[in-house]
Amino acid sequence: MNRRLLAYFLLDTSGSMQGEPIQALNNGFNGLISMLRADPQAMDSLHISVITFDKEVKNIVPLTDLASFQPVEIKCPESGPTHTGAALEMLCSLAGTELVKGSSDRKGDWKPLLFVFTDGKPSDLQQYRAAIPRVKALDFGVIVGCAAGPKAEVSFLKELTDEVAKLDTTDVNTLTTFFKWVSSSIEMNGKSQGTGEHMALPPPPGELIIVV
Amino acid sequence: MIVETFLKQLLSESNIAPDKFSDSTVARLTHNAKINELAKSITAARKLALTIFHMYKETEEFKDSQVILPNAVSRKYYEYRFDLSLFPNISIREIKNLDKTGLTFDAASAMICGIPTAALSIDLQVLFTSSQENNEVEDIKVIPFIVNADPKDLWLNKPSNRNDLFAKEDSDKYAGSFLDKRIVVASQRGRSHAHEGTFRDDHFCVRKLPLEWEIIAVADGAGSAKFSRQGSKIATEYIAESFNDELLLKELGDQCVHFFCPETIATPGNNPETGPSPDDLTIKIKSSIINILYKNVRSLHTALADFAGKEEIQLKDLNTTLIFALVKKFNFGYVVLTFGVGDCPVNIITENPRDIRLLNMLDIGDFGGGTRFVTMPEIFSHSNMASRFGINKFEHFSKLILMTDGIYDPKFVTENKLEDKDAWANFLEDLNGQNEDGLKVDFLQEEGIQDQLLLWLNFWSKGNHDDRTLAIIY
Repeated sequence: MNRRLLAYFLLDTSGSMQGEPIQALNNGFNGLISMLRADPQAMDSLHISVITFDKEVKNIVPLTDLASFQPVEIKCPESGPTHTGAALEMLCSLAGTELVKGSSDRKGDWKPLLFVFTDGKPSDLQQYRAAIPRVKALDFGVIVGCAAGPKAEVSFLKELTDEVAKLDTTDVNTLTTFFKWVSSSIEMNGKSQGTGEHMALPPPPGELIIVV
Repeated sequence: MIVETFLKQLLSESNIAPDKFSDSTVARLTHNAKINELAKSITAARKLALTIFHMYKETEEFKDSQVILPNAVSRKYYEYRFDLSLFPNISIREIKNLDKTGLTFDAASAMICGIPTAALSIDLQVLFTSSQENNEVEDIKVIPFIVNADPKDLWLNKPSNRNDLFAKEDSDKYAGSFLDKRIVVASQRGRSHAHEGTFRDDHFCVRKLPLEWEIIAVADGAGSAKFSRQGSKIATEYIAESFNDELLLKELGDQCVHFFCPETIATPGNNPETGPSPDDLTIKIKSSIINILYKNVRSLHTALADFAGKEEIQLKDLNTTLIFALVKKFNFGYVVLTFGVGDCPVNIITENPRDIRLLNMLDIGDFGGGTRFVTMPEIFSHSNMASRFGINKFEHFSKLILMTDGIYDPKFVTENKLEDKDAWANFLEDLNGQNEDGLKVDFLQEEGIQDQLLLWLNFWSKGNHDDRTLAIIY
């Protein structure tokens, strides 16, 4: 088995995503998958896991290699809170078991990647803050937070990672651009990483995204 | 009986309360031909309506059911059979859009098969019917279908920019004599770099030195470092040149003779009872040898730091691993002095083809790609620094091999296989032409062997597209 690059996507499906935002998220995310399919390195090594979070937290796509990945429909309830903390907890337990560390008879995975997309803020703030150190201990190659839309709070994502992108809107164009950038970040990874070194991200596209 | 039930149900549905006349009327009508006929036809009509209802319901259920067609791969045979066991009344007539994929559908066996022509992503329109008795309804179920590209088709081969800073050839090769043996080396830019049009980060350097010493150095620049292509070039060339020093090699040669033939140590006036014990002496000589090697590695580090300073770049932009073997043939055998930092191995196969040894310590991180570099100052202060050096003697050897992880990842997978006899037997067979492409490196022919090795380096291995450098002394 060759080295895998694991990418975890935590996607906000809380009530506020109803309507155009959830459609844009579906378009953007499935577009991302199509883009990655054309990248030979990603086709060789990328494995994707998708966790959605609203009132409930679901691993709607368990870890799947890109070649076998099927189009997915992300749905959201009509209303309800944003359980980002519970999503981080699920992430920790999944990544904890899925990630293969190198040993003398098995190749270790590349450092995994984490993308957290939200249009609001954690409703379970205490749980969220408690999970942050556990997420950091997993030693992700890069964690990208994305605060999308006018109500998204950057500050909570900043507690999780320095790499936070702010999107002014959650329309199709903005999300498509964002996921294009995600695609190039994934392609940049899966390269030789020095011990303890952090991966660089590609420059964000134009004025759409402000990495703060 | 049917008529009686029918009439009673009709009366109750029409809110006609039972009384003494209704019972007798019902009894009388059970034998009425007209009522009998009506009851039969209504029952039949109800049954038919129910059948139609179920038929439509089944189509709805089928449309909503999750049918997953596994993704196909371009130009690779594909086969999928629909499992309709949960939908006994449904049959698939045809699949629209399927012709665009190059696959065909056989309705009798409910099977899709064939060889997809090209990568695409498409919504298949599955035309199906649900039929019961003589009734039939037609509907369409949409199933997404993906044909992945053959990964081999996705790799581009873009030339690197010759005008860029520290430009480097995409491949390099060398063949020649090495002591009383031959050496062949080839280095090839990996597909991952070719795809992006970036440079090969590997480098090697072979050099003949004074006093019949020779050196081969191989380095693998870190993919994440901006100018590692230059780091690996400096590392190999500088270290080789640093041993181009007759005085140093004289001293080194003497120490090696002392180390391997302790009886040659001149000990004038030495009192066996007060002088150092033979063990102490050996340790002393060993540390002198290591010290000589250490100084040159240390000065390489300084040279890299100076270069970074001069070019106004960061030292870590030059991150590179390094292995080398400094070899001389003495009358008691070949002395092979090695050093390694990073994850590239130096292996020797002695005169016994099953006797294979790994001559250096490898740095393998917890995660893929996590290794150490000669550019890292901390390696020099670490307690394991001395164990990075190897002092070995072999009366004979059949092959001395240095490689970058671009070779050993696909061919040996993990470090513990680097002393595995079967893994090595397979590797040598592979070099001998036992591979998909039938490419052979003929060690019996001097002419063109470097070209053969360079071609061989193009082997295909899923997930392994790093730069590849392989040096063999034989």
